[in-house]
Amino acid sequence: MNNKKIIFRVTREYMKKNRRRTRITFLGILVMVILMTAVFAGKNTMMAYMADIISADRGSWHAMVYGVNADQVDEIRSLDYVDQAYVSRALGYTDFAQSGKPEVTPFLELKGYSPAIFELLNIQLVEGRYPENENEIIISQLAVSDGAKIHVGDTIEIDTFDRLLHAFSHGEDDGGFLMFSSSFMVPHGETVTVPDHFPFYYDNTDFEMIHEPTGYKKTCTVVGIMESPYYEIPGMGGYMAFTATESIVAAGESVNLVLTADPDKPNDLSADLNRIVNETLTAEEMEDLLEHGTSAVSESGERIPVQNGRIEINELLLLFIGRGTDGSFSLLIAFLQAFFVILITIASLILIYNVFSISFKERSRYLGMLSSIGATRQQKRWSVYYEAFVLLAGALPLGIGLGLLVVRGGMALLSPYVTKIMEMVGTNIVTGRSVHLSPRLVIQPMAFVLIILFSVLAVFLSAALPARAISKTGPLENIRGNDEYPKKRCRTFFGLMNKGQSEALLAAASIRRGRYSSRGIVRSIATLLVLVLVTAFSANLVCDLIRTKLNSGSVQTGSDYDKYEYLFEISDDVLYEEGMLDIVSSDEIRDWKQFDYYFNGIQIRMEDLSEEYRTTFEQFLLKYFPDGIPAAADEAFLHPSMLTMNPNVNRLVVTSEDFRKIAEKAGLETASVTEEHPGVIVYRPYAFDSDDFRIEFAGAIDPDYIRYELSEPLAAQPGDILPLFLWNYDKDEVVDLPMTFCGYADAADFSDIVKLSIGDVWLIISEEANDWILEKAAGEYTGMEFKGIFLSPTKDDANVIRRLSLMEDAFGNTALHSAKLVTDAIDFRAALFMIIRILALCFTVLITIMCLLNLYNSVMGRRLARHRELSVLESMGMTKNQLRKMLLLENGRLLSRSFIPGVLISAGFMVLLHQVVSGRFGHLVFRMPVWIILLTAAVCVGSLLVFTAMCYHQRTKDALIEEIRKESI
Amino acid sequence: MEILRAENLTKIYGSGETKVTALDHVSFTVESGEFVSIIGPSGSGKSTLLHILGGVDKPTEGKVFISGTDIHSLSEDKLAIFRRRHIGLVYQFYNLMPVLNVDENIALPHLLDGRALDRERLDQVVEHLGLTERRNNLPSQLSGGQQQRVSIGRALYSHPAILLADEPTGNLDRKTGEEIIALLKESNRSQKQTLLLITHDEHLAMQADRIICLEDGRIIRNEKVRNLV
Repeated sequence: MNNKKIIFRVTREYMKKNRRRTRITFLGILVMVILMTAVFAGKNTMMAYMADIISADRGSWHAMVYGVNADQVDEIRSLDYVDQAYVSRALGYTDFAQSGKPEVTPFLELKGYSPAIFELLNIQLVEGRYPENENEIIISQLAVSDGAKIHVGDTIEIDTFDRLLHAFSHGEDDGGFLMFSSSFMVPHGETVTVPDHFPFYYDNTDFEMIHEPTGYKKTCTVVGIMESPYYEIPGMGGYMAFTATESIVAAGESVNLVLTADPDKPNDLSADLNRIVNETLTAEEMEDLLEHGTSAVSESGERIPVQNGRIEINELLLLFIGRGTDGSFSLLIAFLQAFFVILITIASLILIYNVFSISFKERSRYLGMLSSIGATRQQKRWSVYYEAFVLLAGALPLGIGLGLLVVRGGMALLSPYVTKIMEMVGTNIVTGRSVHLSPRLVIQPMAFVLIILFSVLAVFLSAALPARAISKTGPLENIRGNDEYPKKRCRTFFGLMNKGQSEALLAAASIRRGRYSSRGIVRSIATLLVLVLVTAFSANLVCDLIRTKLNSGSVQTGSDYDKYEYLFEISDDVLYEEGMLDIVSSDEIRDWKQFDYYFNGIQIRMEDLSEEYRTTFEQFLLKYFPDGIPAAADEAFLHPSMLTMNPNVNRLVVTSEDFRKIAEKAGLETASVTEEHPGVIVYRPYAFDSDDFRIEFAGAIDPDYIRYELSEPLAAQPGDILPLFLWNYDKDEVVDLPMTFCGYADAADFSDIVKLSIGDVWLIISEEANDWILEKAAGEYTGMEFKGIFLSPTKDDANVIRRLSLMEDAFGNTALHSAKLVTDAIDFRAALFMIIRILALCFTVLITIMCLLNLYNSVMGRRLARHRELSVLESMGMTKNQLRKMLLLENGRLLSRSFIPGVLISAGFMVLLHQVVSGRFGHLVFRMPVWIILLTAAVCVGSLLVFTAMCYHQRTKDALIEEIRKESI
Repeated sequence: MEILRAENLTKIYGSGETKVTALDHVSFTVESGEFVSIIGPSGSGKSTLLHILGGVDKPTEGKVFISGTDIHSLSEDKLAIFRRRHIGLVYQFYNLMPVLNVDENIALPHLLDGRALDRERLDQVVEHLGLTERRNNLPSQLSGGQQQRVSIGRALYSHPAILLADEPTGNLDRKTGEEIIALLKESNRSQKQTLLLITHDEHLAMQADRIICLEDGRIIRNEKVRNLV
């Protein structure tokens, strides 16, 4: 018989004899494999699901390049990672006589696509077929739904033109311009081609529209009606229409390209495309662009100027197929994956190591006997490895199968939130398109390899130490089992003995001097604590990160508004006042509350902001200008030369009752508030980050995400006069608004009223104080106001509701809405938080199961290891109550021994994580998950007590003398 | 004065074909201060008898009276308390608490009774057993003989009414065994400690006042040693 076979056979017999322990060890390894599968397959599935949603919504293209010539097309096609590159042509606009809304959308915006592009852009037909040549077109369903009299089979005369806009000069050289959007401004006196999808305008005193014929004329047959493309927005000048086009590019012709890249090949897509499109620029143009425009940074660190509107990247899709240009997202995903894999590996390692350590004494006895008859060290080691890998071999296929089921179930749970997020991320929030896809289970072959690799690694590492220890122990020590106890003399516990506390004596001695049996429990509890706390902390940290990164411009109603049924909101001030009067005076209105805030308008001088603000903002600017802040930027942001260049502040207007309540909750004193200097409370958290506060200034680089949070944005102390002001542009003079600074309030102080963004300085003032500002302003602009009245009528068919519902502004927007639209909307962050919490919860539940199995195993192992000693105690006269007391005292000691390292290690991990994440994404507040700590501690205490009761209750059923006689289990 | 009375003790293990009668209607008495040896071949029921007398095993039938108390009629907890106050048990394999040192092991039954440590008594026992140099050692740091001394110390510390020793020398060399028996005899003589000793060794058995000989679960001889001599 092979020399290892006998060892394996004995080990198999041992495993059979210890069925319960073998089963629990198997379960532990199984949970580990499930968790590993969940992490790897979960990531693959989630990313694929998100990519599917984006593809279904926006298409599966990776990049679009506009206005490239034949050489550039060839160059792009020759990039080794470019998979597909198809030509599209912007053929211009044509009059659309059949339009149902000729005053808004009188044209067709015609594009020619290579046939494959229809699939890449996910152009879905509602009716008919795709065009096959230049004499066939398909038209957007939006045209049909807007009332266009067009059907499949109709013919349309196409005579396209480019649209140009000429801004009239007002005679003098004013240097001004007409601003249509942040990216489209036309200097007075100039004529510019309008961008794609530009709205229709009638000629007026400011500008005129010019149609320049392109010479493209066709008589086209409508062969299909398509779903509105993702970028089509009601109100565009032309409805989208597509025809087929040649893929050959003529010399001197300018076309667009739609392309995809091979996701398996490394690429520098954005940089390469920008480099190619810049080839047609002159050296001067390049230099000018570098100096005054934005730039992309290649993987080699080269700065490449970016021409506005020449390249469009399907960022979201690339992000989810792992080729995003925003490194921080991929880094975050990789970090989370590595983090979870490490946690699982540590947990498994401790679990399996524990099992082998606990059974060390028993195992060492039979191995000692084998050793005494000639078994070598290596053979003894193999016994441990054999057991570990036999269990793993069974657990791997089952664990992977169950893990995939867990992923499937988890995705079913998560998909509504993912869909919600994708609706909000995608442009479909504007178009109203919504994509509902069922998640498909995706697992890449590499994931299988990694699951197996990490599982084998975890099992090998956890078995290695006990195997080494067992192999090193001599046969006699093995048989006697003396290795369990300390080799040094132990001082007598006279203190406890003098008080006659036998249970305390036994508990103390057992925990301090019993080596392996108690360490297993300590390790189990400490591991549970560390894993749960670190997971909860990480989930909080990621939520905080999202909260801060996605905070811009978010103002939401608080819980006070949840009870109302309707929201009255209209942009016309006269109608608003009329409606308000109706609401206030109506006896059909049961309850109402106004929601009112202003963006900007009021300003604060830079010197009235805190030193912390100024120094931090300077550091912030230095991230954009690493070589030093240029004078112009310094003047614009740090040392304004004009009063109007000072920062703006927002204001939330609340009733005086609410103002008083907020002050009270925040513990602020309002005694110094006077009529001349009305009170103002400032929302404390103030943060600026690179997402919120974009520095698009000449020479500014595009840094990684940075964020700074300030504790006190103002220089003023509570009770001081805050010298706010606004600028009267009519009189060209400053209007001073000296208000009494009552102090700072935190979000919790007014969460029932509003949730504010922290990317702005927010003033909280009473309605009276706002009236005082409006009076001082004397009709001058005091900020962009958003206001509405939440109301509940006494009955559904109230006349006042009918009257309000008939009100609409000049653009046809109705004034009355369901309040639920505002108060019940799940916002993007809430959906993301939900996903993170569900993921964290799933992980925590699985990891807790694993740790509790571990703990049960340890408690059972300890009980089995001391079966004889407990029976001897009983034979000496220990009563059941004394046994219970001793076990309780032991548990107390075990818990304290576990909690101290558990909490310290968790704290270490938390600090480390906080440092890493803060270092990468900007400062985040360190929030200790107190409730999770308490809950986890309670779970640990409860589980230990329950498991002790379960394991030791079983023991009492066995006959005392049988227990004493037993050599081993 | 009678300190122990066994009445009609029967112990049956298993049932049907596997039924084994370990004790078959065994009855005898022991006087206070008496030293009784129980001998017999392996499987004769000696250890079963001792365990039933010590209250750590229950008879299938019959009664055990110690100082007039029917110990097997007591509840589990009362029996435990009775054991720690009135019975000292010495096992062949010592059965010391591995996590307690010599001092703690010896005083344990006394402490289990909720009484504070009698330091003077502890010193006296430790010195008497010759373990002064080993007081802080754990059982794993002691030789077999030393462990058995601790075991005897633990049994004697609380002055039990009766000391039951189950082959205390069975695991020791002859010299050490003799020392252990000498210790037990010394305690029997000087403190009038009632002693029941199970042994295979007839030479040791002959040092007792009386010998009870068991075979197949029955007493086949119960005589004073001088009569045997």
